[in-house]
This record gives sequence, structure tokens and C-alpha cells, in this order.
Amino acid sequence: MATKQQSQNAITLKGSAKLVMDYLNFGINSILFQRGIYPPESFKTEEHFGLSILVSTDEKIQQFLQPVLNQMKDWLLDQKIQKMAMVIYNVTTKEVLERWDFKLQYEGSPNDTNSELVGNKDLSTIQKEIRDVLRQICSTVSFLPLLDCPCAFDLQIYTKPEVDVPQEWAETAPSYIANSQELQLRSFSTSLHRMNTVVSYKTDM
Amino acid sequence: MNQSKDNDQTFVIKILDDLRSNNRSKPLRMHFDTSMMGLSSSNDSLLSNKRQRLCSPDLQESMITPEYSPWESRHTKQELVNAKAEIASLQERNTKLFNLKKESDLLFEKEKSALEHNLKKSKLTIDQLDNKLKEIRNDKFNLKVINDNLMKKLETVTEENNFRISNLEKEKKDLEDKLLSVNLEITKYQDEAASRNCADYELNELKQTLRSNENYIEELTSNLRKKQIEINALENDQVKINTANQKIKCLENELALLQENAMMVNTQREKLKRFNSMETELISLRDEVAVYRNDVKQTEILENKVATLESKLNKHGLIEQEALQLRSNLSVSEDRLKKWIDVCREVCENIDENQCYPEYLRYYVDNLKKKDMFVVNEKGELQSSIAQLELKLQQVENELIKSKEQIINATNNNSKHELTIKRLKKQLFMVTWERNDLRELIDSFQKEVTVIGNLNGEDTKMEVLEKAINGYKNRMTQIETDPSLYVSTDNNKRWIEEKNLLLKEKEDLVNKCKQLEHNCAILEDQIDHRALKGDFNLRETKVLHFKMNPASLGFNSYQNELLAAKQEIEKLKERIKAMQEGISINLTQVVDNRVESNASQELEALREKLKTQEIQNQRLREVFKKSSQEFRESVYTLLGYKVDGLQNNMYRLTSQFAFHEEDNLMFQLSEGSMHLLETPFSKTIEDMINLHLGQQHSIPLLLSSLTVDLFSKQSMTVTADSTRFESTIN
Repeated sequence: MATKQQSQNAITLKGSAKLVMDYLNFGINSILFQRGIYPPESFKTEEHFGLSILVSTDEKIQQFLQPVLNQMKDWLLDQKIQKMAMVIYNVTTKEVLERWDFKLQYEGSPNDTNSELVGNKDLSTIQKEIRDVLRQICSTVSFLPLLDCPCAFDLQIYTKPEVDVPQEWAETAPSYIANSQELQLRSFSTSLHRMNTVVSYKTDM
Repeated sequence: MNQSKDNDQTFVIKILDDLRSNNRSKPLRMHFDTSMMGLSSSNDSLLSNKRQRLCSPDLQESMITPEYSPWESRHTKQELVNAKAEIASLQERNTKLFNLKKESDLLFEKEKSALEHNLKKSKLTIDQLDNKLKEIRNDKFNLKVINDNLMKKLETVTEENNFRISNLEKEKKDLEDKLLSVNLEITKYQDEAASRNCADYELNELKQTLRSNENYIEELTSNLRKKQIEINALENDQVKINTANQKIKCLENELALLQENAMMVNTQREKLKRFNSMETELISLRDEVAVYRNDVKQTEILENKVATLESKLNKHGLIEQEALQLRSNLSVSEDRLKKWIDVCREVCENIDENQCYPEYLRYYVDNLKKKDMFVVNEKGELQSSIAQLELKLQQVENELIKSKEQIINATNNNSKHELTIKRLKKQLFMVTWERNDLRELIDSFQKEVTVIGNLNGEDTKMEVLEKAINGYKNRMTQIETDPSLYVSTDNNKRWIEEKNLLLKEKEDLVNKCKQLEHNCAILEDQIDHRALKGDFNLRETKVLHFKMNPASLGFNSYQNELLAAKQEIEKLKERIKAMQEGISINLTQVVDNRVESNASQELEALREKLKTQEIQNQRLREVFKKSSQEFRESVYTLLGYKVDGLQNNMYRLTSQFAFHEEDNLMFQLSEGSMHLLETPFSKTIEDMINLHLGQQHSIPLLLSSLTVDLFSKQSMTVTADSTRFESTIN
């Protein structure tokens, strides 16, 4: 009985990584929609985590997001990622207007081999936590400053130094916001990965 | 009606009077003339007519009879006729009157019967009233009896109640006294509570009984109040009864009056003929009837009162029951009192029943309390003494520990001192031996001096030796006078000083540690804050991004757009210029040519490139400087020579061990080989140059031998200095 229950409640490392990637994907998509970086007509609603989330139908964005997220997933399984930053630039001035930090922490005992790493958190509770964070992301529009200029975004992945840089990737400089205001959103944990979401935005003096 | 009746009655009475008067006048009937005269007022005209008619035959008869004179006869006849007529009329009248009399008799009889009927009725009513009066009297008597009984009962009840109230008040006072005493006892017991659980238990029991007694007292007081209220009600009832009695008296008076009236009626019965009196009696009787009716009403009221009195009686019965309950409560309280007394007896031994008072209990409890207080005080004193003793013990133990430590220290010191003493003894022995030796030497010298005599050359030596001897002596005395302990005490002081210093250092270090921890916390906070702001550890992180990210694409497209827009603007400007110049044929071609010829953008691009190149150059220079510096430093540390590159392929070498900065060698690189140049320093090492360059042809050998030579020289000077220093110390 105990083993059965464990198997029911268990979450594997891959499953956890998939959940994290799903969260990032939907988080990025909803930020893109909520912050008005791309026209709202290029988004469609999809049901995920019990929420209706707007996902971009722009092929370019998907072509960008999918490889990045897949690569990230590989790194995540190797515990190489420290955080992921979604940076929103002003295209004309290249000024950083907003930065969404998705900080990752690895939970669970590191001694175990990756294949045996198993979390014991209920999937529904994890989904509930993710839902709460996604809701919070949607609600940040109320206080974040209006982006009234043409904007573009970039995903910067903060990895460990021993990571090999793939062909289509390049090292870049970290982006800072001068005179920034930060807001820590809720965190969620899959019992293997803990995700802290922080949004930094430029304050108008 | 009465009036009309009266009129009727008067009418009848008048008729009767007339009749009587007629009867009386019967014997005087012959004198009808007078009667006629008397009746004339009442006679009708008819009568006169009849008389007139009667008169006429008389006259006729008189006329007929001639015996007498005619006129007389006539006259007598007339008179006869008249008399006969008169007789007839009188007879008629008599009959009429008789009829009238009969009628009046009938009327009288009728009236009489009616009056008699009335009388009977009135008699009946009187009898009824009499009966009612009797009944009322009986009722009154009964009521009086009942009232008297009630009054007696009331009095008895009030007396009893008063008695009970007084008893209850006494009890209440007693119980209050007891309460007070018990309260005092309770307070005392509460004080004792902690130490005496049994007493506590008793106290609780006493409290409970007290509470029950208090409740009982409250109940009694409430009952008392109720009873007082009832007594007030009874008093009110008494007042009402008094008023009723007064009314009864009034009624009796009225009854007397009625009796008198009845007497009057009896008398008036006899005087039936007197209608007026009858009437008045009737009226009076009616009045009396009205009065009786009132009396009847009053009797009803009295009956109501009787009913109320009966209800009050029932209430009194209830009160009696309550009184019984109170008695039972009294018995219960007496039992409790007995229990109390028993408790008192149990608590206070050697006591009679007569002495069983709360005062004695109080006294006993006071004694107990005093004893307890005394015992508590003693206990406190003993505890304080114990505490003092414990403190003293601790102090003594501490002193013991200290003294043990001191003893250990002292033993240690002793051993040290013994060691030092041994050493000093050895030294002393050595010194004494030396002294003896020296004395012997001096003696021998003196002998020699005495043998040799006065020699000038050796006088000075003697003096020197004597001075040396004096010096030795002084030293000896110093050694002898100096206590050997001095060294050891000095050592102790040193130890203490060192310890203090170390402690101070430790404190400083601890403070520093605290400060550093504080700084650490601040820095961690700052790191957290910076992490929030997007800062990260540059050494341990790599920031990667997808090359074809939307931002870079966006930037590129924007720049392309910008470029296109700029080009278009320029074209348009040129076009405007061309149009202003008046060129209209092949306008676009002309414009394109002009734009290409301007090529200002290319220039700008080249300038940018130049700038970047310059920046790169600068960076390279900096890097070169840094690397060359590092290289030179490494050469200096490894080979011991500072190599300065000068102009014209000249190199200046200065050794690490050179005494002066000017001590350097100059080399010049020419045609692939090094040549030594002459310097002030090179002149001093000509031997070496001849040996290594002239014979062995090796610069490194020269340099290394130079370094060895310089090093040995420097170390020599150092050792010489150190030897000098040591000698000065000795």
C-alpha cells in the first residue's frame, strides 16, 4: 500500500523539469500578452493548469521559444541552470525596461543519481501553486509601468561556467536596470525544483 | 299620581263628610226650609221647577176648598201641595242620597279593601324587611363572631409572627455573629490553608454550611418581609372591619328607627281612618324600603367583604404553613448549630458543652494561628539560616578551590624555585670557586708584587688588574646581594603580563569577530538585495542566450529600417535640392549618383571602425604593459637582476643584492650578441670580468658569480653586524 501511494504521489525529475518548462513557457507567453509586447490578436487561449492562458501563435516566437526551452530542459536535468531572465528592451534605445527573473533552486538530496531522484509532492498541489504564480503574473499589469514604445524581449540563461555553449547560442552581457524596483512573486516547488519569480522594472523618477 | 289620588281621596272624603252631615241632619228633616236654604246652594234648577210644579196643584186645591177662607184655603192647599211636592222631592232626594250613600259605601269599602290590601302588602314587606333585618342581624352577628375570631386569630398570628420574627431576628443576629466569627475563622483558615489541607476541607464544609445558613437567613428575612406585608394587609382588613362595624352600628340605629316606625305603623293601623298619616306612613315606608334596598346592597357589599376575608383567611392558612416550614428550618438550623458545637468540641478538646461557643473556637483558632505563625517564623528563620550556611559553604568551597589552586601554584612555584635555587647554588658554587681562585690569584700576584717590588712598567698592569678584581668583587657582591627569588618573581610578573596581554588580544579579537559577523550579515543582506536587483556571481556563471533572439532581430530590423529611412531622407533631400536647381530630366538617376558620391555613411562607418581599433590598441598596450611588468618581476625574483630595457637595444641590470642603486651593469645588443658597456660599477669588478668574459666568454657566469659575490658580501656584513651586536651585549 505504502509503495503504491508513493508511486502515486511521486514526481520524477523529468516530470518536474517538464512542469518547470511548462510554467516558463506559459509564464513567458502570458507576460508577452499582458505587457503588450506583441499584438493581442496574435494570441489564442489555451487551457493549462486549470487556467485559460493566452499563448502566442506567432511562428517566430514559437521557433525561438521551443529550442530555447528544450535546451533549458536538458540543462535543468543536469542542474546547470541558475536562473533564467526574460529581458524586455526598448528596441529604439536598447534600454532595458523590465526583467523577469525566474530563479531556480534544486531541492532533493544531491547524492542520489538523477534517475532515482523522486519528489513526493502531490501533482495537484504543484499545479495549484503554479496557477497561483501565473495568476500573480497576470495581476502585475496593474502596477507595472506602461510600455509605450516598441519593445522586444530576450531570454538570458544564467548557467554554470562549465556548460558548453551550443552552436546557435552565444555568451552575452547581463542586463541591468538602472534605478529599478523589484517585486518578488510567489514561489512554487515541485519538491525537486523551486522556482522564484521576481520582476524588476524601471521606476520613473 | 299621588296628587291625583289625593284629589280622588279628598273627593271621596268630602262625599263621606257630606253623607255624615246628611245623617246628622236627618232629625232636622222637617225643617226642610232651612235645609232647603242650606241645600239651596246645592239644589238644581230642576228642583225649583219641581217645587214650582208642586206648588201649582196646591194652589189648585186651596182654590177648591172653600171651608176656609178662600185665600187661606188656597194658601193652605198650596202649602200642602208644596209640602207634598217637597216631600216627594225630598223622598227622591233621599233615594238619590241613599243611592249615593250606597255608592259611596261601596267606594269606601273598595277603597278600604284596597287600603287594607296595601296595608297587608306593606305589612308583608315590613315582615320581609323584618326577616331580612333579622337575617342581616344574624349575618352581622355571625360576621362579628367571625371577625372576632379572625381578629383573635390575627392577633394570635401577629403575636406568633412577632414572636417568630423576634426569634428569627435573634437567630439572624446569632447567625450573623456566627457568620462574622466564621468569616474570621475562614480568613484565619485561609491564611493557614497552604499548610493544612484538613483544615481546608473543614473550612470548605464550614463555608458551605455558612452559605446555606446565609441562604437560610435570606429566606427567613424574605419570609419576614412577606409576613410583615401580610400583617399590613391584615391591619388594613381590621380597618375595613372597623368601618364595617361602624356601618353595622349605623344599620342598628336605622333598625331602631325602623322599629319605631313599625310601632308607628301599628299605631297608625289603629288609626286607619287617618289617610294622611297612612299616606305619610306609606311614604315613610317607601323611604324605608329604599333604605332597606340600600341596606340590601350594603349587605351584598358585606358579603363580598366576607368573601375577601375568607380568602385572607386562606392566605393566613398559607402563612401558617410557611410558619411551620420556618419552624422546621429552625429545627434544621438548630441541628446544624449542634453539629457546629460538635465540630467545636471535636476541634477543641477538653471542653464542656456549656463552653461550646464560637468565641472559644475563635480563641482556639487564634491560638492555632499564632502557633502556626510562630512555627512559620521559625521555619523562615531556619531556612534563612540554612541559606546563609549554604552561602557560607559555597564561599568556603570556593575559597577551598582557590586555596587548592593557590597551593598548586605555590607547589609549582616551589618546584620552580627549588630548581632556580639549585641552579643558583651551582652558580654560587661556581662563583665562590671563581672568587677563591681569583683570591688565590690576587694573593699570588701580591706575593709576586712584594717579591718583584716597585716596577713602573707593571704598575699600570697592576692597577688594571686591581680594577678588574674590584669589578669582579662588585659583581660578586651584586650576585650575593641579589636575591635568587627576584628572577622567579620577575618570571611570574611576566607571565601575568603576557596573560593580560593575551586576554586583551582575545577580547579585541572577539570584538573584531563580532564586527566581522555584523559586516557579514550586512554584506549578505546586500548580496540578497543585489541578487534581487539582478546581480550574480560573475565567476560562477555564464550568461547565455539564443543568437537569433527576438530582441537582436528586433534591433537589427530597427537599424535596417533606420538606415533605409535615413537613405530615403537623403534621397528626398537631394531630390528637393535637384528640383530646386531645376533638374527635371532623369531626376532619380541624378539623385542616386549624388547620394553615392556623398557616401557620408561609409565615412562614418570607417570612423567608427577607427575608434574601435584605437580602443583595441589601447587595450593591447595595457595588456602588454601588464604582462611585461609581470615578466620583469618574475625575472627579478628568479634570477636576482632587475632588467630595464633602454633605448638603442641597451639593457641595464641591477642586482638584488647591490649596495647602491647606481651599482648596475649595462649591456648592448648588437649583431645578435651582447656586449658589456663600461659603468662605474663595472670598474670595481674587473677581475671577474676578465675571468668570466675574457677567459670563459659567458655573461650568465659573470652575472651569477657577481650575485654570489654580492650575496656573500652582504651576508658577511650582516654576520659582522650580528657579532658586533653580540659582543656589545656581552
